[in-house]
Amino acid sequence: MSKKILILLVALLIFFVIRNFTRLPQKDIPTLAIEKSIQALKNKLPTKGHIAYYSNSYDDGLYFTAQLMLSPLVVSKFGLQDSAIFLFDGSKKDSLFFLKKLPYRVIDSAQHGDVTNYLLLRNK
Amino acid sequence: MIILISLFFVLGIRFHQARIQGLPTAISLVLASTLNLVILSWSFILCLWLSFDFKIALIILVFFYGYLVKKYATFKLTSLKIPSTMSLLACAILGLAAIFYQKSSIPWGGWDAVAIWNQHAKFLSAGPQWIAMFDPALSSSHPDYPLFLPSLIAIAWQAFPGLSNAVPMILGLFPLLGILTILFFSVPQKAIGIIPCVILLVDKAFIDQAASQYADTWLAFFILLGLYLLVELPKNKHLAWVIGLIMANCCWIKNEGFIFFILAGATTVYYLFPHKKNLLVFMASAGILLLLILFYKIHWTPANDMAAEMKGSIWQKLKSQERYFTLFDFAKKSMLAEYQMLIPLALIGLFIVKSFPKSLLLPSLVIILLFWAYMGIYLITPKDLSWHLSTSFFRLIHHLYPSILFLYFCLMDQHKKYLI
Repeated sequence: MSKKILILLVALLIFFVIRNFTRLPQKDIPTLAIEKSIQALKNKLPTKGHIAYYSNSYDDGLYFTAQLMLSPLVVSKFGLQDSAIFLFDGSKKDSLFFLKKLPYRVIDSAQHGDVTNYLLLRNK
Repeated sequence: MIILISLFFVLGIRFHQARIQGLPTAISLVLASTLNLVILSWSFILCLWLSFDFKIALIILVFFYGYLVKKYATFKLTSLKIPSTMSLLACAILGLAAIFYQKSSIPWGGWDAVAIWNQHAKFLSAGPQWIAMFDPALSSSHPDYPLFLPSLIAIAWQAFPGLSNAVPMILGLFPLLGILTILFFSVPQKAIGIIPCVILLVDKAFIDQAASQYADTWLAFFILLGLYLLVELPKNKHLAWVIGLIMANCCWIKNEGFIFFILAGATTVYYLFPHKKNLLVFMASAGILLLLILFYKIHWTPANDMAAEMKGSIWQKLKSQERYFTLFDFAKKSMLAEYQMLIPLALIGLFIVKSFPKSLLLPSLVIILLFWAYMGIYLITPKDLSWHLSTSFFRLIHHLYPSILFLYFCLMDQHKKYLI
């Protein structure tokens, strides 16, 4: 009897583990303030996938569901070492790793302490 | 590519399980899967170094494994048996651990996962230009760190294109389940094996650390596996080649793995000294990986940030009483806050343990020396000591914690007449 209950328990646990893994990538991060604040602006733009966010602190990576892209080019363009760029469309095609030039222009910026953030729009 | 990787795992596990005799089935399954991951990681990295197509390498490996399985193992389709109550209990523990892990996980993991491990994986998955990760502009992402975890993530990203954050999340679960499986099945008295698993399951700090998707839980898992094999070595000398691979691969997970390799490797050499053939096998398997890691360190990576910053006199730091006080104070507070379970366990141990078995003496010494080596690094660190302790102390103890529990409950198993 106890064996049957255990088998049922294990089957249930396996079901929940698989179900949770399918939902986890969409799990909400509690501190999505920056991304949420950009959302309103994103909605106004005709090319939503072409927006990016730049920060000179990749601590910000903890607050994003978007991909963090850190590349020598990004670093040299903005001249700071501890820097990163976040792309919202997530397509590998738009990776900033090996582009010859950064096809993004700054449309807004903010400074708080040592951290500078830029909102970028991809050129056509 | 998914089919090739699946075939590689099925054949590889069958072959390795056939070669690993004398261990509990569950542990040999974990060990065989781990060996496959090690081989997969190195195959991928060698393909990058040699600019060779990884898919072709996988096809070669699948055929090679197929040949080995035909020669050394058999594929018997045995009838499905209902697992024993203990195996079901172990499955339930693993299921619970997976759910707790998922509860603590966030997409892309903690800071180090975002900025170091996943970051390196993105470069590795990007093909021939992966060496851009060593650009001096990216020094803050620690390009000198080993590539075991990033290579596994990169392989999965190549198999499932799109750089999904589910990949590092799912991969991060493997070492946690591996640790629990070893703790459960390594103690002959299974009722005792449940206790360390429950201790880890209810330890939120431990689960949180595993869910952060850092390489630290992988290192904790490899240290535990290496230590378990070291305890088994006197009975299973034919495992010398596996021990060599597992111990040397610690250096491919994190730089701290070098210290474990030196200590545990020296103990293995001591054990195998009268058995020259096994000793040679151990040295050959560990030597191959070590040579590859040394090549990676010398040829590709910049100097380690700590080694590069080491300017002041080490002797002055060693003489500074203040540093000893800071270290002791931090270690005491951290142990009391995050590892309270160790205190009652130590007290119970003091009452129950009447003698220390010879088989556990040297493995315990390895863990004690590893702890002191970690403390020694803090003493001479070029970084601000308080900052360094606050950012890494709990992770270094995380490396040792499963091994401490393993040795403790092996000791308890030898004194079970006082417990049951």
